[in-house]
Amino acid sequence: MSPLPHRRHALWSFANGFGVLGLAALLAEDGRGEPGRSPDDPLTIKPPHFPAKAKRVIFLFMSGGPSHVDLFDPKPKLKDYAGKPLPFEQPKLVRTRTVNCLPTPFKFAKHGAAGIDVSELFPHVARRTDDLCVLRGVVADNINHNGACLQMNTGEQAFSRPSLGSWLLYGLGTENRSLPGFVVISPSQPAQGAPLWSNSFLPAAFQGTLVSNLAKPIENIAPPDEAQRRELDALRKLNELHRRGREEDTLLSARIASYELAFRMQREAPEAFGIESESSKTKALYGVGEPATDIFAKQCLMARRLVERGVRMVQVYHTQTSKRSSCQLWDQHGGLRAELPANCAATDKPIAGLLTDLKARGLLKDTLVIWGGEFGRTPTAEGTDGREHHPFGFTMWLAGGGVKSGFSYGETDEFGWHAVKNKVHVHDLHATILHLMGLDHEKLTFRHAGRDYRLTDVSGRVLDEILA
Amino acid sequence: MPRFVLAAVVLAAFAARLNAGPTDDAAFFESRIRPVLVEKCQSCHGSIKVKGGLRLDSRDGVLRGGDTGPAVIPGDPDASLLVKAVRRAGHLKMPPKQPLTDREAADLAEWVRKKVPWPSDKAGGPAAELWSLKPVADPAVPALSPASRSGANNAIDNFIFAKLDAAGITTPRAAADRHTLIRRVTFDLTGLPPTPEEVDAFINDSSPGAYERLIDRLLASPAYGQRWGRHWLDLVRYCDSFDARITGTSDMDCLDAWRYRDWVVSALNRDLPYDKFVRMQIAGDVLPLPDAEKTDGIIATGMLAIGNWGGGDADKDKLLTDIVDDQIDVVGRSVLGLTLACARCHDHKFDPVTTADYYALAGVFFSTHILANVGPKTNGPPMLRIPLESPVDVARRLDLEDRARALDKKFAESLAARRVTLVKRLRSELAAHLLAAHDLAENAADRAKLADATAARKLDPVLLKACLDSFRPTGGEVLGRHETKVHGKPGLHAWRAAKSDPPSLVANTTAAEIRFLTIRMPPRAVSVHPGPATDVAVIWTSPVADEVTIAGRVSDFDPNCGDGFAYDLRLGSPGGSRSLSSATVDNGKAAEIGKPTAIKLHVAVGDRIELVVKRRAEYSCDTTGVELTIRGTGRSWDFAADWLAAEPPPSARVGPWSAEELIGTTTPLTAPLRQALADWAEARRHSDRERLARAAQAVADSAADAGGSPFLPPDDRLAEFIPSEERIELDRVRGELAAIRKELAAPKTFANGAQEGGVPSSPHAGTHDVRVHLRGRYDRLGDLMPRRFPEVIRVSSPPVNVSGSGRKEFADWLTRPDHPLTSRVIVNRVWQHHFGEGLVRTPSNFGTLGEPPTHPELLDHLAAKFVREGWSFKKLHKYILLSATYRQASSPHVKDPDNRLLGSFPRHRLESEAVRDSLLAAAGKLDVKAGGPATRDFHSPRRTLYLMTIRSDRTGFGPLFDVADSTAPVDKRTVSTVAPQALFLMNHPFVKEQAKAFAARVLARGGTEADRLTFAHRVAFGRPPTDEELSVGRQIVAGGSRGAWETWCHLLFEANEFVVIE
Repeated sequence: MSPLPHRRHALWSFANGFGVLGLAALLAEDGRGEPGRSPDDPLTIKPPHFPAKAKRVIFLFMSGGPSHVDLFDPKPKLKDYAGKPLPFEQPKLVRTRTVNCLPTPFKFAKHGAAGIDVSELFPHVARRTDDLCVLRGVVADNINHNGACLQMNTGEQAFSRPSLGSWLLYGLGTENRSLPGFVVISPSQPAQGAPLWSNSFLPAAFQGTLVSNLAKPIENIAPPDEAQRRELDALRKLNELHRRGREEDTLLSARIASYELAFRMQREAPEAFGIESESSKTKALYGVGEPATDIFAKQCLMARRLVERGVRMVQVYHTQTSKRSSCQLWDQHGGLRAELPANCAATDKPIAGLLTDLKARGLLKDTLVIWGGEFGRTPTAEGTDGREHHPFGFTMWLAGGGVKSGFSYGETDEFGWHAVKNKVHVHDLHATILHLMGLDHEKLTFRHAGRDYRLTDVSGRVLDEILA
Repeated sequence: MPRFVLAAVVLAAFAARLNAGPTDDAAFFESRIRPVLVEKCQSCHGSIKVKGGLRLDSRDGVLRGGDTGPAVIPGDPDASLLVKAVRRAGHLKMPPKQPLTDREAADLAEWVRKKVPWPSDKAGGPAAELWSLKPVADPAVPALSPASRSGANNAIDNFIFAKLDAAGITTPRAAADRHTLIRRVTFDLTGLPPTPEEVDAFINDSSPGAYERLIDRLLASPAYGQRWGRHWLDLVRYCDSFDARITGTSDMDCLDAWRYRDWVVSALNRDLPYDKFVRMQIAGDVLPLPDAEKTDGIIATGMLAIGNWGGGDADKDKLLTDIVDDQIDVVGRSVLGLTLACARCHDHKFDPVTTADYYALAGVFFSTHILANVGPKTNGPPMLRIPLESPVDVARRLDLEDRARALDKKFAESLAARRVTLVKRLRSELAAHLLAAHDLAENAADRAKLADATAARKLDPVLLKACLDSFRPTGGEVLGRHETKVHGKPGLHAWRAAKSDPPSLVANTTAAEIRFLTIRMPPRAVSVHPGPATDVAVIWTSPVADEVTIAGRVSDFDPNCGDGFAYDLRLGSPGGSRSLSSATVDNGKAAEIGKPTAIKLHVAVGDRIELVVKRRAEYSCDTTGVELTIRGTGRSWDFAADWLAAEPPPSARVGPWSAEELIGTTTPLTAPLRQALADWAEARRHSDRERLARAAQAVADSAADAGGSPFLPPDDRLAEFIPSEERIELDRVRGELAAIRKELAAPKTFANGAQEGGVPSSPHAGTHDVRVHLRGRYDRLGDLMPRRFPEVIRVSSPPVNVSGSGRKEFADWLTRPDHPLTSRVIVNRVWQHHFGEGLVRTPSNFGTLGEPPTHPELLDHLAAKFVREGWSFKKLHKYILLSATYRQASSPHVKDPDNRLLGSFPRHRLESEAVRDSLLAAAGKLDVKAGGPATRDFHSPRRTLYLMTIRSDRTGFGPLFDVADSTAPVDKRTVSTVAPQALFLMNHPFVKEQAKAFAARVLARGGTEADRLTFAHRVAFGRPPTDEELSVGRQIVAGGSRGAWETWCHLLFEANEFVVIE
C-alpha cells in the first residue's frame, strides 16, 4: 500500500511531467495565472542559485555516436597515415582492432567570422557557425551505446540516476503547468529508452514525457464538451461529499482539482504541440515537407513551440529518417560513405532552421541548444568503410543561452584520437549546463537512501572559458 | 564542509581497526596527525572527493595510495610521496594552495618514520554502534494502563499504545467500522475489492471470530500471492522484457522471466518460509532440494537474471562487472537493507562495508553466470535459458534416448543386411540396367517408355532410375523461394530452399554495406548459407565445350559466431563428379580458390562446376561470401557480377549460374570406379555394343566393390531400394524412431536463471576469487579477495570455505536465524505494506544513514517471533492484522501529523494494479486466472499483474499511476496526483468499456432506481450511498437511459473514494 502523503507533503502531487496542482490551482480558474505560489508543488518555479543565462534547453541528440573526424574535427594527418596504423597504442578498452587510419572521405572548409571547420555534410549548419560554441575535446567513459547514452543523460553509466532534464525541473520547476516540463521527442526508441529521461529517485513529476508519435503527441485527449462538463460537475459534488470530515487531507482536494486542469488541458495541450499551425515559411525554414528532412524538421519545430511556451527542456533524438528507423542511426561501423551523408542531410536543414528561428524570435539568447551524441568515432577504420565507438575525444557543440558564439574550445591530438587540450568530461559539460541555467552543480542535491546525490557525482568543472 | 569532515572522521574511526599502536603513538596521531589530515587533506582525499584516486582517511587508504602509487613507505619519510609533496620539494606540491606549516610537515614525516600508526578511537567502531547489526532481541512486552489495555488485542498493541500513551495521545482510539475494515483488509491482502456479497456476509456475522475468519479466507485466496508477490517483484526490479526493441523475439531478452514471477506468487500462496524463499532465489540451482522442487530451484534464481545492466555491445568486461554489481545491489538492498554496491568503487562512506568486503562477495557472483555467453561484439549477450526438466521428465528423456539408440542400431543392422543383398544384385544386374538406361537416354527417356521398358526387360525401376540419374551431373533442388527486403532491408534479396531456411542464397544488391543479425554484407556481395542437414552449392552449368580456368574466394561474413565452414569445388559430369579443390575455413576467415595453383580443366556442354558450401559442426552462423569466376577461351563468367546484373529472378537461376540445395554429401568415388565410369562415359559416345557391355560390367563390379555408391544411395535413403512388401518392418522401425526424435526435439520449457561458474568462454569462466577493482575499474586491479561475506555482520557459525561459486554458502549465511538484518528487514517490509510506512521508514537502508526505527522493540519483537514461528508470512500477517492497531479508524492526530506513533490507520490510495483490477471487478469482467506469459493487451481482462512490463518503456498506464520502475529495486512507490491520470480516467477507451459493462450489470439488477444506485455504490465503494449521494446520482440517471447509467458508473470510477482506502 502507498500512504497518502500528509500535510506538508500533500501537495507533492507527482506527475509524469505534467503540471500539478495545489490549492492555488484549485481556486484559480486559470492554472497558469499564478505559477510558483505553492511552495510544496515540485513543479513550482524555483529561483535559481544565481542569475541564469539560459532559461531552457534543447538537446539535439544524434543517437549512435556521430563521427567527429568527418564532421567537426578535421585531421589532415590521417591522410599521411591512410591505411597505416596509428603510431601509438590504443587504450585497452577498445575491443575491435581498428588499426589503420581512415582519412575522412569528406571535405572541410572554414566558416564564419572565426573560421571554424565544418564538414561539407553540414552546409546549412555551417552557415550558422557564428552562433556555435564547438567543443572538440569532449571525453566520456563508456564505449557501449547504453552505458554511454546513460552517462550523457544522467552522468552515471550503469545505475539508475535522474536525467539532466529531471534535475533541471527539480532545480527550477516549470513555467507552464499545462504542459509537461521535460519533453523527449523521439520517433524510435534511442538506446535503452526510458532510463535516459528517467526521474529515477527524484519525484515522478520530473520524468521526461516521451513523444514518439509526432502525429498524436499526447494520450487520452478528447475535445471537451458539455456532457463531460456536466459529468465533472456531478463528480465534484460527490467528491465534496466524500471530503466531509476529511478536510485536512489536501491530497483529496488536489485530486479533485486535477480533473479541472485535465479538462482545460484538453484545449491547451494540442495547441502547444500543433506544428501544423505554423506558417508555410517557417515550415520551409526547417525543411518540413521535404522527404529527407521532414521527420527531424517536425521534431525541431515542435521543440521550438514547446520551449516558447515555457517547457524547461526538450530533448530531440534523431532516431528516424525517411528510410531508416534505428536506435543508433549514427552508428557507422560500416557504410560511413553512404549513411553519414544521409544522416547529415536529414538533420542539417532542421538544425540550422531551428537556430535561425530561435534567433529571429529572440529566444536563442536564453535558450541553450546542445548538439552531440553519446560518443564520437575512431579515426581508424573498421572494415573499409566504418569507424568504431570512440569516447576518448569527440565533438559536441552548444549554441545560445550564455555561451560564447563563433568559438571553438578544446582539441584532440593530430589523429583525432585523444582529447589533449581543454578536455571536457561529461561531468564538466553537465556542470556547465547547470551553471548556464543558474544552478550550482555542487549545490543541486537530492537526498536519497541516506545520501546527497548530484548530477555530477563527485566531479565536474564549470567551463568558465566558454561562458559569454 | 563541517558535515563532510565529520563524516570523514567517523569513517576514519572505523576504517582504522588495523593498527592500534602504543598509547603515545595514539596520542601523537590524535593530536598532531589526524587534525592535519582532516583539515588540510581530506576535503580532496576523503570520502567526498577522491582526487588522484588517493584517500587519506584511513591507514589502508594511505598505504594503498593513489594513481601515482603508495602515498607512504612506512619507516622511510624521505622516500614517501606524501612527505615529498607536503615538503613541496618535488614536482608534486600539496596541498596545492595553502602549504602546511613546517611543523605540520615535520609531524607527518615523523608519523611516517613511526610506520604510520593509526589507532582507533572507539573500540569496535560504528559497526558495533549501528543498531541494525546488533543481535535481534526479544524485548519484554510493555505493560499498559488499564484504559489502554482494554483496547489492546495482542502484544503489538502494547508496543504501539505504550508509546502513544507516553506521547499523551490517548483518544480517540476508535476502531474502523466493519464496512471500512473489510474493504481495507480485502484490498490489503488481495488487491481486489470485496464483493457486495462478501461485505454482507461479514457485516451480518456477529459471531466471535468473524474478523479472524475473514483474514483466514483472504490469506487462503490465490489472489493473496498475486498481491503480495507484486510487492516482492517491485524489490527485485522485475520486468517481463528488458527492451521494447527485442520484446519476446530474442534470447537477449528475459523470455522466461514470467516463470520466476509465477514462482514468487505461488511461493507466497504456499507460505514458503521466507528463509527458504531467499535461499532459493540466491542458490536454488545448487541447494539440496527434493526432486519435486528442483525445477523451482532453478526458476527461483531468475531473480539474479532479470537484472538491469547495459547491453554491452562493445565492452564485455564492463558488461560482466555491471551484472555482478546489479546482483550485489539487489540482494544487498532487498534482503540485507544495505547499499553494498557503494563499495564497488570505494569503501562505503557511511556503513561499515569495505571495498574488500564487496569484492570478496563479488567473487561469488563472478563465479556465477546468467548469460549463455558474452554475445557478439556488436550486440548484447544472449541470456542463459536453462531447460527445465522434472525428475519424471528426465527419466522419460533417458528412456527415449535409450530406445532411440536401440532402434537406430536395429535399423542400421537391417539396412546393412539389405545392402549386402543389394550389392550382390548390383554386381549381377547393374550392367543390364546401365545398358537399358543408355538406350532410354539416347531415345529421350520419358515416363511411359521407362515403364514399358522396365516391364519388357524385367528391370528394377528404382535401379534403372539411379542409372539414368548417374548420366546427369549431380544435382539438387534449385533454391526456389525468392524473398525481398530480407530483415526489412531494402535491396537485400534471399532465395531459400522449398522446405527449410537455410540453405539459402542472399544478395546485397545495393552499393552500401548491409548489416542484419550479426552479419555484415559488403556492398554488391552474394553469400550462401548451408542448412543443418543439407549443403548449398553455387553451380555453373557449362554452356560451352572448352578449357576453363576457375578462380574464386569464399569468406565467412559472420565472424561473430559459429565455427567456420567447409567447401568443395567439384566437377559434375556424366559418369560422376570429382573434387577439384576443398578445404575447411575457420570462423571469420576466407579461402582463395585457384591460388596459387590455377585450376584448369576441360568441360563439356552440360558439365557442372559446383562450389559446395557445407557446415562444420555448427551451421547457424555460416553466411559465406562467394566469388567465383570461370574463364573460357572466348569469354568468362563472374558469379557475383552476373547475379547482380540481372533482375533478381524468382528462383535461383541466372544464365549458367544456379544455386541449389544438395542432399547429403556424395561419397567420394573410388579410383577404380572413377576409371570405370570414365570408360563407360567414353564408351557411350561410340556405338560399339560390346565395348558398351564390357564397360557397363566394369562399372557394376567396381560399384559393387565400393559398396554400391553412387547407384545405391547412402543408408538413410536406402529403403527406397527395398520392395515395398519387404519394407513394412523397416518402415515401422523408422516411424517409431521419427516419433521418438520428434518428442525429444519438442520445444522444452526454459527458465532464465543462474548457474554455477562465470560466463562461459569469458575471462570469468569457472569459479574463482576476484581482485579488487581499484575505483571500480576492471582495468586497474588490486589484491585478490578470497570469497567471504561481510565480517562486520555477525552470525553464528559463518561459513568458512565456499564450495563452487559460494552462492549456497551465501544463501545460508543470509538466512541464519540470528542474522541481524534479514529478519528485521523483511518484517519491516510486511509492516510497511500493511501500514504504508515501515517501523523503519527507509526500508532498504538499515545503515547509518537510514532512519532508525520508530518502535525498535516492536521491530525486534516481530523479527524474533517471525523466525521462531518458521519465517511464515501468513502467520505474521495474521498477527499484525489481528492487532487493534491495524483495526483503528483513519482519524489523524494533530499531535502526530506524520503518524509515526500509529495512533490512526493511515488513509492511502490504491496502486495502479488495484485501480485497474477494481475497474474490471466492477465491470464483472475480471479474470483472476493465475500465471503464464505476460500479455501486451491492455484491454485484457486479466489481473494487472499479468500485463507486460517492458523496462525500456515508461509510457502507458502503469508508469502514469506510479508503478515501480523496473530499473532498480523499489521499496516504496511514489504517489502522484496529476492531470494525465484524470485524463486517463476521463477518456481512455478501456475505462469507458468497463463503465459500460458496469452499467449493464447495474441495469440487469432490476429494482427501483434507488436499488440500482445502491448496488452501484456498493460495488464501487463497498458501502451503501447516503441520501445526499443518492440525490447526486438521481440527477445524472434521471430519464434512465443506458447512456445516463454509463455516465454515473464512469463517474464512480473517477471519484476519490474509488481509489482511497481507509
